[in-house]
Amino acid sequence: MTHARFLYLPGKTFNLLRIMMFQKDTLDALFAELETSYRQTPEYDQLLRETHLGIALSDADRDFDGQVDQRVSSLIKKHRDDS
Amino acid sequence: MAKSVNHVVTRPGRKHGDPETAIPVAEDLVTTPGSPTIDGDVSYYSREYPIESQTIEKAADREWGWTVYIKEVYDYRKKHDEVSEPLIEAAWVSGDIEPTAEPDPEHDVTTDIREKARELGFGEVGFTRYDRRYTYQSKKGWAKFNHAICLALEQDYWQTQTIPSLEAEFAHFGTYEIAGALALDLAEHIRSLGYHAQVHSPNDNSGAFIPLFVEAGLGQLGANGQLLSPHFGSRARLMLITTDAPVVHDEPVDYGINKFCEECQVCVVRCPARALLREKVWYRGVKKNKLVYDRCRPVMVTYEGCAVCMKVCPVQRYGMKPVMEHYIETGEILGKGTPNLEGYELRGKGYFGPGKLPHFTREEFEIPHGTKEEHLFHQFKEKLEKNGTPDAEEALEFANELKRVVEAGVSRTDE
Repeated sequence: MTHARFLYLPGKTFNLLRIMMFQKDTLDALFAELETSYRQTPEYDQLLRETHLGIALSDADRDFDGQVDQRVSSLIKKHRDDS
Repeated sequence: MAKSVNHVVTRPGRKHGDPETAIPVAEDLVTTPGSPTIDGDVSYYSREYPIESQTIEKAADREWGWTVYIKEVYDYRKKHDEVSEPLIEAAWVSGDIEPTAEPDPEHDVTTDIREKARELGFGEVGFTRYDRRYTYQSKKGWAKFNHAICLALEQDYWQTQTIPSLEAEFAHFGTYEIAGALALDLAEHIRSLGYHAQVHSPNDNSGAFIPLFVEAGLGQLGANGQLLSPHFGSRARLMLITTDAPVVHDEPVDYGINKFCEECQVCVVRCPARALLREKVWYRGVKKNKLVYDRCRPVMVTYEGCAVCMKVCPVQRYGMKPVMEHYIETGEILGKGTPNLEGYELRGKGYFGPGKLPHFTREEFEIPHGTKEEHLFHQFKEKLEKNGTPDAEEALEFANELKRVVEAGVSRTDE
């Protein structure tokens, strides 16, 4: 489930900037899938780090392609779109 | 809003053999290399009010901790103590062992030791003067040599993100066990170069290590009271080796952390115990965020080491480079306000997302204070006030208990 984040810009009326932010249930599902898919692989630690980074960039409404592994990127997009 | 870059800090990669990393520091985050410090105050306080180990100064609550741990933590801590004991004993006598070779004055010992330490697995390695102003009173007669080798070992990433949990405690104490063993190997290597090396066991601290790490340029002090290092943030577990090897000292660095933490404040607002203070204060000659021990400690002991302040630090979670780059590009703190960074669960109390904190009763913050002797006297005084003059049997019981504590003397561990 995603929630809208509302930003107040000084000098203007309320500017409703909708940023899709990962909530707990979506995060739990995402990390569960990451663990199921990659826990037994040697790169799991790095993928986990990049997943956290990718989620943070996504939460900030920034592009994370190219900054994280393609597998991580796909996983984040899948769960973001599903939520 | 994009920020302009003041300078770029170049550091070795996270692991041995990784490429160097470049960390940009925004113009508006620049303060000073290392920590803001008044040197005269540091000297005055260290002489007049020398620091002492928590194991001694706060022995009463440390003893109390054993009565509060859940069974799994209790059992694990006992095992950790068993594993640590021989490492502590080996470290204790390490400074007395003679070098095994003649020193070669032409050899670059600084590079040699740095390379060897990285090879062994230490993620951050730095050199500085061994500043005895940060040595515990009880260790001043023990500590030898004038140069400090600062060594940080990374705590497991995955386990850390499960904080607070037993799993995270495995990572916490397990990292210290590994570091303690690796440092003995490094000390042996230093002796083979012709010099002495004294291992300051991370399981039996000899003083406050963070100021030395800051002086060696390995990070800056975070608002959570922990060293924020470039790759691990607050996930770095620290230890020292002191030596008479003629190493070249590193310089403190301004990573922008002093100011960044003022902007971020995630650890401050997410602390379940509300133990972290928003504003920095001058304390013993250093400007820093201080925590309220009596609020931190009960939650830490009750909830598997707590460490929420470590978990929610964006530098710990994402690394300093992406965090600083994001700040420069957007003027925002990466992860701040998001459930992924700020959310945590506390056993028996539930899940707490951004803006939500657990509630505790006043009783949950009641802990014994001071040394074991001080706590005994405090209890005796309370009995006097409540019940009047004790009878001979009670007085004898108190005397015997006090004798037990005094005879046990200064302990090097919780035991």
